[in-house]
Amino acid sequence: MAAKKTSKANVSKDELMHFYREMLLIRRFEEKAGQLYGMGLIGGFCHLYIGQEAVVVGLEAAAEDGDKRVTSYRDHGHMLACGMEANGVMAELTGRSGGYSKGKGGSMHMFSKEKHFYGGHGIVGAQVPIGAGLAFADKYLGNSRVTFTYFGDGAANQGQVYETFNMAALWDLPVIFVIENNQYAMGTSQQRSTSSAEIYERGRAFGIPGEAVDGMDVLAVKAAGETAVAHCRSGKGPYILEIKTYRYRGHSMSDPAKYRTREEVQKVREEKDAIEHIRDLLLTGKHCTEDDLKTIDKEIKAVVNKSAEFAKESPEPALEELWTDIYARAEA
Amino acid sequence: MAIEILMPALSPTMEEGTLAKWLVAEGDKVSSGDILAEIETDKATMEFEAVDEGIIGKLLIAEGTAAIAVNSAIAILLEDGESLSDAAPTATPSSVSHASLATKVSLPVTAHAPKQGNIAEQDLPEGTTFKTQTVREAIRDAMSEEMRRDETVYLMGEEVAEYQGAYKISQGMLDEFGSKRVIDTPITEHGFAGIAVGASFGGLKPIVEFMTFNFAMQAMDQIINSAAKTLYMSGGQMGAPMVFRGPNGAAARVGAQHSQDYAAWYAHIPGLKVIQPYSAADAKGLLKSAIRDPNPVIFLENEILYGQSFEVPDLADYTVPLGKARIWREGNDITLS
Repeated sequence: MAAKKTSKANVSKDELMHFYREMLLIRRFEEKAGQLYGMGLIGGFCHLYIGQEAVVVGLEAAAEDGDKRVTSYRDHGHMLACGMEANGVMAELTGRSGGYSKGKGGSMHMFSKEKHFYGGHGIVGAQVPIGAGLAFADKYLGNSRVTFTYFGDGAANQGQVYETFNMAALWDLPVIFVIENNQYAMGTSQQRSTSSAEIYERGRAFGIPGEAVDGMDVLAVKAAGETAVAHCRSGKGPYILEIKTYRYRGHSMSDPAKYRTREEVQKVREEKDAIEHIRDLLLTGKHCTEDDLKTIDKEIKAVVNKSAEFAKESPEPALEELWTDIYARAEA
Repeated sequence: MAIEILMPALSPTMEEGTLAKWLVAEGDKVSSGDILAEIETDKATMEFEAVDEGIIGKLLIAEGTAAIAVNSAIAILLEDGESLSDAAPTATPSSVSHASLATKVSLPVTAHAPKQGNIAEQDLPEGTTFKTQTVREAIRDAMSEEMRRDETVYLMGEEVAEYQGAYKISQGMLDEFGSKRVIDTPITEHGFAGIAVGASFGGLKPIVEFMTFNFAMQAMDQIINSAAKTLYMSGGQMGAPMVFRGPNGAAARVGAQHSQDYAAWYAHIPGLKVIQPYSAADAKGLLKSAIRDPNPVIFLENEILYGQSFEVPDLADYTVPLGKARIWREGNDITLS
């Protein structure tokens, strides 16, 4: 994971505590989702974000109110990080009417207009032109917003990504292409699927600047995010962040993960874990005590448990819901 | 041996044209590649080049003559030393009858008589007058009127702006609305369809022109998985208010890859509305309604109809409701609608 390290000098205690809390919320939420899947409460596909938490938490710290985000099917972390409620996300995972999509989207398809979260898309790579389109709308409307468009190292081999790079550069669209490189496209490693070692360098062919970022270091992610946001917001067009990260769990809940060793996963967990990294900074810098962190852990656990209860108790959608929201009614 | 220069077909659907201007005079020597005349088709003014070399013996058709059938003789080309009288046997203008052209399409009413359809059945204001318009002009007017009415409506597609439309649908729109709202895209259907879907999520109302719906196959995933399904999968929170439009179905002699009719395909996708108008009045009124509709609408046009004229109600805001059938002709035993 060759990527630059950033100085940690300019980070406040409050910020470190915030990062810790946000990343821990995603991890505990995902662990609970995995548990509910095992109990049969969540069906269909379920792609967990465990290991990659620093990516969305770091970038959200670089975003302003009104900035947009769109991502693929591994989307639970993005929703929590942009402020969507754990209850609504978990209830959507269990397919209940209290979910963000009234139980009709499931794990991969959730949206929140209020939080400017535009999905949750299940077709690998399809969210990339959509993200550029959101940026196109912002440029058209002249509101100086930027759009974070997340996709994986696997999606980076879809043709529409490069169609989008071309138009985003041609039209100076304020879009940040965030490649979450967790090194495996489902079961295929980057070496076996991708001709370039550094995916962000593909932007060079279109004149799009970019950089590789250590995705296990939330401070490095935030710093790179700020560079990208400043570039886009100043009207200079798109920017690429290739964030080198790692997922600890399988591609989905049904992945036996035979394509990598347990030792490989264990090594990253022990040496690079993003939450442990912030925990160390907080404790060694004497910003807080073990007891302070335990209190946070308890609070997070309570939020997650409450979301699981909500997701179990929320009713199934009525059968009639099969036939609603297919067409929008024209305004009178 | 004198050669007859014939009125050329300059598009797959051209049956006749106007000889706008001669660029040579009788007695001029011409070589292969010299420009002989400017010819107006229903889409554009095109330059017509000489194929053979020789001397212009006679211009058979005067400048400004309209409705000259394809393959009619328009000039006589003489070889060096040959005189017009030598060429006498062929000097009478010949013309190939339309019926022998494979491109001839049989339409229910003669091609040039303006067709009114059954507009009278609708609730038009008393005293409504009609104007004769081609389908091409009606589609352009529908888009322009809606773009004047709503700042968030914009047009994007291949060759829609500077080229004025591959089929000249968007003629004049770049001048009126500028390059912010009439946008030439690269040849990248999947990409620009996806960008338009994203723009619709972001508050705009895109009109996406496909040069033909055959090319929309490249964009099928974005049309179906992103545009049509998002309203449902977001529990009604957000959808794609947009129009995908362009020529569809049979054209003339363009082969199977340019002739498919996709109406039935799209009609099977929940979330899409599908429109396939015949007359210019329906094209105008339905396209205006499609642009205002909060759903993704597939608006299927037909290249052969673009140049056909119909009577269109001369109203400031003529719309035709979606989803309501028009009865073109009542049957004795059964009426389809």
